[in-house]
Amino acid sequence: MTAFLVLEDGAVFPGRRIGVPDGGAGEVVFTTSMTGYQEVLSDPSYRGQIVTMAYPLIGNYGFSAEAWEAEGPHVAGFVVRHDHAGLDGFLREAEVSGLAGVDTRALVLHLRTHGLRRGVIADSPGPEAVRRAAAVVPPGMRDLVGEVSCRETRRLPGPGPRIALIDCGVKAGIVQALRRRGCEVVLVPHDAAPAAVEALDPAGVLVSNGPGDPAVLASTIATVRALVERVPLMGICLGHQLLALALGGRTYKMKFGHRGSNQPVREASNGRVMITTQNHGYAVDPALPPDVEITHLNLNDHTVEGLRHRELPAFSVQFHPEGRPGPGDAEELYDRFLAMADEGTHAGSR
Amino acid sequence: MPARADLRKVLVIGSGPIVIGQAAEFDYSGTQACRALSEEGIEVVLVNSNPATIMTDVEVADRVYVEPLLPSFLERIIERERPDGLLATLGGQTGLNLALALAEDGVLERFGVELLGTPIEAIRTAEDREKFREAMLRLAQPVPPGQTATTVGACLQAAADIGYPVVVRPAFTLGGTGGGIAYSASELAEIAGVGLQSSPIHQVLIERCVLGWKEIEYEVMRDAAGTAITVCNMENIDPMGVHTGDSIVVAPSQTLDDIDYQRLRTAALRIIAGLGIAGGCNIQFALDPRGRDYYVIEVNPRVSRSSALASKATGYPIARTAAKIAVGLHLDEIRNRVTGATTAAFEPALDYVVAKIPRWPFDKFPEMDRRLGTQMKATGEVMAIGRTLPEALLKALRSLDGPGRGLLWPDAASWSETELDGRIAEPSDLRLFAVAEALRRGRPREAVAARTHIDPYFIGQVEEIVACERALAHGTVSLADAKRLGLPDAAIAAITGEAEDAVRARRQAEGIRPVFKVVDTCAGEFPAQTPYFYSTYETEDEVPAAVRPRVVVLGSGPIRIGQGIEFDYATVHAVKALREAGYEAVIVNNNPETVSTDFDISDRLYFEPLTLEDVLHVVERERPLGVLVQFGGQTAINLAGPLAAAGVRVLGTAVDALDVSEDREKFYDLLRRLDVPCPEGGAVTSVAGARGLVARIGLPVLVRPSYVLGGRGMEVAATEEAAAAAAVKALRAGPGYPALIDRYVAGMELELDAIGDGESVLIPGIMEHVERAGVHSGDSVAVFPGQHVPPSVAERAIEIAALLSRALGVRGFLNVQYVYDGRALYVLEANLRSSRTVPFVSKAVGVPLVQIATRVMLGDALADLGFSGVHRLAAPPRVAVKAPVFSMEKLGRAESAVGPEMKSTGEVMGIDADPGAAMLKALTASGILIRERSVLAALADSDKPQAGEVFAAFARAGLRLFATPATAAALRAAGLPVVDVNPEDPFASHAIGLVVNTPTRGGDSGRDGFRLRRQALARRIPCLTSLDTARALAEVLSLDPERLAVEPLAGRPLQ
Repeated sequence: MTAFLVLEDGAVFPGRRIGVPDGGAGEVVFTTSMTGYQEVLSDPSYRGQIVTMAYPLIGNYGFSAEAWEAEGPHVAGFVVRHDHAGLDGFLREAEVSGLAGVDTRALVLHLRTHGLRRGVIADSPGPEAVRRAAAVVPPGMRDLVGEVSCRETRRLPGPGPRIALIDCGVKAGIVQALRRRGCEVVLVPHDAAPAAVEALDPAGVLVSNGPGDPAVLASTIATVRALVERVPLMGICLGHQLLALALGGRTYKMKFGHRGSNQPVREASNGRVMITTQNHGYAVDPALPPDVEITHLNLNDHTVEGLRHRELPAFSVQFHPEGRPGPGDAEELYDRFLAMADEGTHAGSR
Repeated sequence: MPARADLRKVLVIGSGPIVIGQAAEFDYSGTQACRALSEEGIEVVLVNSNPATIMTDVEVADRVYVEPLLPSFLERIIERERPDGLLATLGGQTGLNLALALAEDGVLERFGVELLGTPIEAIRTAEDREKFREAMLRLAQPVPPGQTATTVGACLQAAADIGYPVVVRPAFTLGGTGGGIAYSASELAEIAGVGLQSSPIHQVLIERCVLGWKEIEYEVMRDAAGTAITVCNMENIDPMGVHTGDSIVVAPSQTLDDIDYQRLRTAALRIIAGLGIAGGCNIQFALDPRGRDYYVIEVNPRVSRSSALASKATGYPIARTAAKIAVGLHLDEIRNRVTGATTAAFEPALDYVVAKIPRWPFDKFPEMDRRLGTQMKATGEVMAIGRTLPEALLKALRSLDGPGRGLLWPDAASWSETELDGRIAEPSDLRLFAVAEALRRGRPREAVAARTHIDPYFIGQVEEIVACERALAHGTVSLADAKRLGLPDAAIAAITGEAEDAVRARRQAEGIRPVFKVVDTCAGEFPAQTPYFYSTYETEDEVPAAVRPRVVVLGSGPIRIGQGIEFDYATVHAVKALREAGYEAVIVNNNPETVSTDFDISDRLYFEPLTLEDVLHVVERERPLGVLVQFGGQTAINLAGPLAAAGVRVLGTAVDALDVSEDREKFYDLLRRLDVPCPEGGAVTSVAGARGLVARIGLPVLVRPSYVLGGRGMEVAATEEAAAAAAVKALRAGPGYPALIDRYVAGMELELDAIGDGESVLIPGIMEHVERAGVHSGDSVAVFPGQHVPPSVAERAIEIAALLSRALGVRGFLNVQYVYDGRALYVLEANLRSSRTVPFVSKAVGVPLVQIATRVMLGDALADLGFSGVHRLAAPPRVAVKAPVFSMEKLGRAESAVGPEMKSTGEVMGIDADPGAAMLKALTASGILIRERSVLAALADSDKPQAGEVFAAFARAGLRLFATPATAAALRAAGLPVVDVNPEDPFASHAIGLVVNTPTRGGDSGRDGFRLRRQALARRIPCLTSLDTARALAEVLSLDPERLAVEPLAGRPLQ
């Protein structure tokens, strides 16, 4: 059935409905990852967003238990050029609204040129749909992290050091990266008090990725600020932005963000470039307090990709060292984190 | 780190002549690399023996040597030039092997030349099967169980340990030469024997055969700082068992989930780092479709055919980047010229899918085994870009310029079930059509997948096309949807029973036309500066408005026998002339290996099939002043008429004149009117007609189909029966067209390429063919300027060319072929387009002929360019000799003797002030290397009378003479000392350095001669099949190749 992606600015992209026949409203974003559609669908950081796949062929290799990043999909809608047979059924079962047959390249170019827009998947492209698109709650006005964070503390046993993971919508890949290294992982809700985290006696704290605007997460920022003085800490993606805010930095909304598996990041200390997976619409302002050092920069647009505290054992990266989808070039950062936790002292990003 | 300041001069080795497994991709890579080095202020010295390349243009490098690619010549060039560095990873296997030889002989050390980029040890590790396996084990990378072996016995033992089937992979060879899959000990003994002989170090690897596993390739780059990236990955639709050069390939991979994709990517990065490669490399993996096991199959530590494909598929210039890395730059210091904003340290993201299909020479060699295996058989390839796989596949299929329409193969419907089943099960050029046919007949997808081991996903994509065909037949799909799926008008017309123009008219009435999208390396994330487009049926078109008037140049499509890299050379030069004249040059082409499809060669590149439909779409979008059709070989010329009929302006010689030159009746009428003699003959449409004509003109005759390329299906017939049989074949080869029969005139063949503007004619000179008429001009050794042409004959040839040029109103190129029988000069044929010899002649005279022709086609007068009247260029100071190069060792059962049908895949040039030295250089460069001072003769009766003189010359040059009994008797009668050999196995008891075997009749594989030629081929002993070539060689063999001078080319740039 013909349906349309209608944006708040009136732009209309026709397609054919897949997935469930209603719903589909959110901020429209795009990712350039060529593989990993199931990981994208289930990444909690996409909460509240209609995700456009720039790569045109989606569903080719089916779905697997290993590819989940959460227990189910989190996207608010899914827009593709060509869906392979299984995708429609998968989206129906997951209750996701989708649109196929879209000139996704035209849509990507529109978002790149004009910045991200809110939109709805609608049966007719009229002004009513434009109004609905404009009425979508902006990410900063919605408690997206609250929707994806765990409600209670959850322990995942392991023989190694105990890591408290502040769950702002953590990807399974991060948990697995820690558990593969033998860690005992304790997931705590994003609004847990610092004392509750400290009571776990963790060797280190990892602040996870998650959806939306970091600046509105006042209580998590406060928690990070309290913990960073006492426990070795690593931040990833949203967690990186939260650490920056906790240390006195600022964040801002990007025009269309970084979403894909091919973002080049240069490490300042050795000049080496890594290819990284990213999924973020906000970034850390490079004007940081003097005790914070920028460790990584994006090679394309020179945005901040990593930082560390000069004195405290704390560092963070904007990208996902575990990939999923995408390369594991930076996996070694988890080892650095654990070495830092092990020493309980400053190690940070060398 | 900026480029190293200590590197002032760098030597770049090209890959030499086009052979199967090493084609135009190295001209593309080498040209890009030379430019990249020049950008860094480095003086570039280039060596390549292939004149039909852009890289040997004097503008590309500071000094260009067209000399044989042999260590001794390289050593003299190094001695003369004293380069600081050597870049060897851009010249294919040839360049790599030469670099290894120069390193081993101590030449590099002696002259203080540093091997740049990938270190020699890394090259050895990747190329030596034994070291490679050790290295992989060290890096914890799985390799298939296998053992290296240097004797057949050891091979058999290894296979017994591993279990059959096994793959035989010779070390240090190209395109899988000498390799194969053995299912039994007897098969292995045979394959291993050949394999050991093919390997320069007599080493093969016997390896577990993972037939049916997925074959995945990664293109990887790494700089000296250790930053490494993958440019893209590619998935072979044909699983393991078919050489990747013979496989249908898609990019990026389609059936790998992110976990497998990343696992193999990580392995690739670990391998490139572990081997210490600085530059580019290609890594092949086999992946178990049932689980997550994989094996590393091969690493190529250099740019390759795959890297050219990956560059075109992504917009990432691998060769350019590799060259920059070699001189010290890091990936993040190299700008990505596509976006202008990013660097080479990133991984391209695609928002389209690319399909590559090989182009095989089976149409030229009907007796060849069409089945595909580990030894590559394709001469070239096409690439297509689409937003869906069916769209890309269907575009690639029509880019092949073959008889298929979409997925419809002409006689597929008549295949029996058994035949069909065989064609599905065994990989061949027809397998994709067979898969479609099986689905069409209702075989379930899973059954087809199981029979082919092709992933069900790909079978499903073919099924989508077949379903659309069916829906079209039933009228249940709209024209718009069929186009959106990617079906060409021709296939739609075939299904609905309409004419192709009726489909087009219907489409135009409904406003169904494609849009063009940009290849930008980043899936739209950054604005792109590149004008690199492909068509698709979607909503948004991205072609920007043009500022200047535009001209479209049609390329020549895939490299095939008869239409090779020469036409890409011409295309690129035409573009250059257009840009210099202030026009925007628009290229349409589909060959990923070539320079012309590099995105910064033209102002706009349309990577599209060269069919009327696709070219019209570009023309409608661009609204050019006109289209240039003279540079893209027969592919482009064939479009001239249809384009003109569709109202498109064809620049240069009028389409009517093109028709006269191609229509034999009209052409012969013209010759009669001009009083120019031609061999008597005519066109016939039936066997009876053929017999009648032969009775009238007399024997022997030359029989050929009309409107074909490279003398396909051309035969000399000495009897009426043979003539009738040849006529039947010719009629079948060109359905709907007559067969042409001419009296066969024996004599000296001459050829010239001229440029006309309607008034004046520019004649660069006259070429003389060494072999007498009857050997295809593309396969003959040619000398420029001709050394034995009587002045009056040369005058007459020029006069005829001028007459033809004026009579036909030539605006642009004119190629004329003549035969001189000692009394009269006959015209054999005229081609009103840039010919195969244009690059050779351009290099020989040092004048860019294509650029002059282009100016003329744009309306300039030759007089304004300084060439008025009948202007003959002064003879250049050096003589140039062109020699053909064959790929016979790749072609299995194909007949290797030269004849009227073209068989060579490439050519080399020898150039020297001394004509004999030029000849020796050319023949040496073409691979005629005499390792033993002896020659074996086995001659046809008709050649025996002249044999004495030829073999006396061999004897004078110090070669011992051997011959088969009848030939020996003839030579002895001529007073020569000769040793008789057993024709069954002459090589067993004698060390033979050269074979001269002239066939009594080609094509008959039962004959002794055929076996002799194959035996020579298997032993890598050069084999000449024309006594004329043998004479030319014998006359120069007394020269010492070690004492020949090396000299760079001199150019006379166009004013």
